[in-house]
Amino acid sequence: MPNSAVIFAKRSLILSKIYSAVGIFFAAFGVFVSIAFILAGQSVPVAYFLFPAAFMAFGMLMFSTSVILLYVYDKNNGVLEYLLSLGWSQSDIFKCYLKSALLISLTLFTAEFTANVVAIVITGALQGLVTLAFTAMLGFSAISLITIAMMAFSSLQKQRVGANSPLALTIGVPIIIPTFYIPFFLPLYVAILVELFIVALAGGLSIVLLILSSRLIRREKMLP
Amino acid sequence: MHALELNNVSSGYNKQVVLHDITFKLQEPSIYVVLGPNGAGKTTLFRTIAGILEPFSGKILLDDQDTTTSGKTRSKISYLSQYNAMPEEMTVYNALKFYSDIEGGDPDKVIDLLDLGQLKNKRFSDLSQGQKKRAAIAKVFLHESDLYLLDEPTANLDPAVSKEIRDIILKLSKDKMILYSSHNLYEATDIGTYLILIKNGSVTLFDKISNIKPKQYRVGIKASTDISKIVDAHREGDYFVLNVSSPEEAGLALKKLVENGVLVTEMRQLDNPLQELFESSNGKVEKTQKEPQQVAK
Repeated sequence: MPNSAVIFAKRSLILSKIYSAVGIFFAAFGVFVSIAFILAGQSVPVAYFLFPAAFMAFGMLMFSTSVILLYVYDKNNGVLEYLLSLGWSQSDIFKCYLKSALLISLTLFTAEFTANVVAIVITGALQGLVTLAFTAMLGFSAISLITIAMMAFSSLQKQRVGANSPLALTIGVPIIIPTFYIPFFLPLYVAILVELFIVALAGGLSIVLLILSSRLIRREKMLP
Repeated sequence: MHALELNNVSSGYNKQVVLHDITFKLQEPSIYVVLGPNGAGKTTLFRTIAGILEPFSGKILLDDQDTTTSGKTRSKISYLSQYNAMPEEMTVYNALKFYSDIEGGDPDKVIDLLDLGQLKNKRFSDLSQGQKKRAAIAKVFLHESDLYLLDEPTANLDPAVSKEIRDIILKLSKDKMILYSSHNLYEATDIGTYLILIKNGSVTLFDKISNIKPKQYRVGIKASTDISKIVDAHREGDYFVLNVSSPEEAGLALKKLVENGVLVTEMRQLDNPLQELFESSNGKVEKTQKEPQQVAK
């Protein structure tokens, strides 16, 4: 699969600009809140630094949703069938689209990271690193799980790109949503543990699904 | 010389068997038309040979190598599905480049080969159905294969564009082994050398098309005068129709008409030679030729 993930990433961004725009909006809001907290420094409880992480991770998730739409699109127009005929396995296909989703979200995370690091360097408020660490962990684990789950259960969604909200968001939102509230209702260490549990759960499930993909998902599920 | 051999292949979707114990062998470069009504199992057969579906049982051998276990062998098979399988948002050139990056080959070469020069910078989604099909065919010829599987390449195309596509395939088919599926009898006789008739997931006939002789020929004749008093013909629309048992008998009738001073302006076979076979395949399967699943020589 030489450079295929990059090509698929570009294709998905071309195909669906709405989710990219929504993703950028959430990421920008998260960065805004994060920088505001960093500038406020010691007056903001450390647990609150998890709050912008949820927004930035959700932004990454929305930004990468276009890859899932591309998967459904490629399935419907026979591209996946053709890739199977070229000798790709189900796992190869899943990995390619997963890499594309992670690649796309990485570009947004890089922007979030840069903005936050600049603010941290200027203010010296190291609490901002908590935001970045949880953004990365939450974002990439949720994206992995949602992308793989969506591909695995794509036969439940027949609509083409833009025709309907992707099923992935229905799966993904409940994972991310609690992280918006946790920082305000739980003590710092408990909040961190709960969010780490969510990260581990999402990451672990996505790895299991990926390993089992060739066994669990029949090739005919990828046919138009 | 390449050979494709299917030995007792059964295949289908989920656990539902669509193909039942398919056995045949292709052993010379030619166009083999897989003919059958909708739902007969043509696409399933192609998907199974292409490695998209794993057979429930049996073996598929290309040059004595098992395609189900050898990725290298499977890479020698090119497959054109009924779907164009092209990224619609890309230009023709970029779409071909996209596949050449994955499977190898030179996009410029196939663009020349299929005369796509004027279309290469157009978005695939902006092309007509015929142009899309030409571009999709180009993708299949990106790299040299030993076997080409073309699944109803002229489906949903108008007759003129269908003819154009068939001409392209005929041009590209020299020294190549091509399995070409269709449910169009005229297309089958136009393009094919061999016929593989498939019905309800089983091969009911495998033979050279030239060997397939109907029991009766319906010959249409346009003539300057009423010929029904000279030969045993009756009028059907613009034609006098003559039922004969062989082409030679039709020739004798023509000779008789000419001897009687009749000006014959047109003489043609009205039915497709595969008509009878196809109809019997749709109803009661008729094994008039060689036994099914026998190797054609």
